[in-house]
Amino acid sequence: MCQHGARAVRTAIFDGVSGGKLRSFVVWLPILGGDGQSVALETGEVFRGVDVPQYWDGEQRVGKEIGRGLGVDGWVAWDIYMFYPPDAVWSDAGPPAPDALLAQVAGAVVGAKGTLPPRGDQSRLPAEFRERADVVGEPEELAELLSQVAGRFTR
Amino acid sequence: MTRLLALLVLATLAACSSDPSSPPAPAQAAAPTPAPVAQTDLSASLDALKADFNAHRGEARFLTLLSPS
Repeated sequence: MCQHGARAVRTAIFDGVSGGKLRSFVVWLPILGGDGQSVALETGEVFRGVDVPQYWDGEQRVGKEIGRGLGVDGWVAWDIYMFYPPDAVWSDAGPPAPDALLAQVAGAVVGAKGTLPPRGDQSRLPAEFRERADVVGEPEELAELLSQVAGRFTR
Repeated sequence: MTRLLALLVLATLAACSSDPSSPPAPAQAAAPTPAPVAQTDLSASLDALKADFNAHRGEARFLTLLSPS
């Protein structure tokens, strides 16, 4: 699933109308069996030729920080796409809350409230996300959904 | 005369087999192997990511967390 996410990011953020205008950062972290830095280096080739720093988070530290910042303690955030305004600052207390957020959860693309209009069967949303997110599309639409959100940040 | 012809034939065969005038076939140039993509290790500290993120304050930014497989 995540290789699909990486390809969608490449398409939407670097090759699409955003055309790499959005300052971007890619963090790889081990979630699935067999994930390791050697696999991350291999999969990271999808971003060859574009200006994006990549990081290896072998201890899931960023994933835990983002999960905590989103109010879901103990959740390791992954398969997640976050957009920040120009004044966002990563303080000693942790990363800032994103202005817009998409993630792939339970076979759907979900967005933090206000990111995109709700669409599709909302009952698929896990209980812990229902107060703060909506189902906004299907996984095969991820690149298009990312493009829609990125367009708001690159005008 | 026969001996002369035989010597000429032998000389020609020897020249063909060794073919000293032909340059050795050039070794096929191997395609350069691209350097692997760089990934900063955050296992000990998130400071590198934090610093890079904050270095671009004033710009909209995008951060994604992905599993590699």
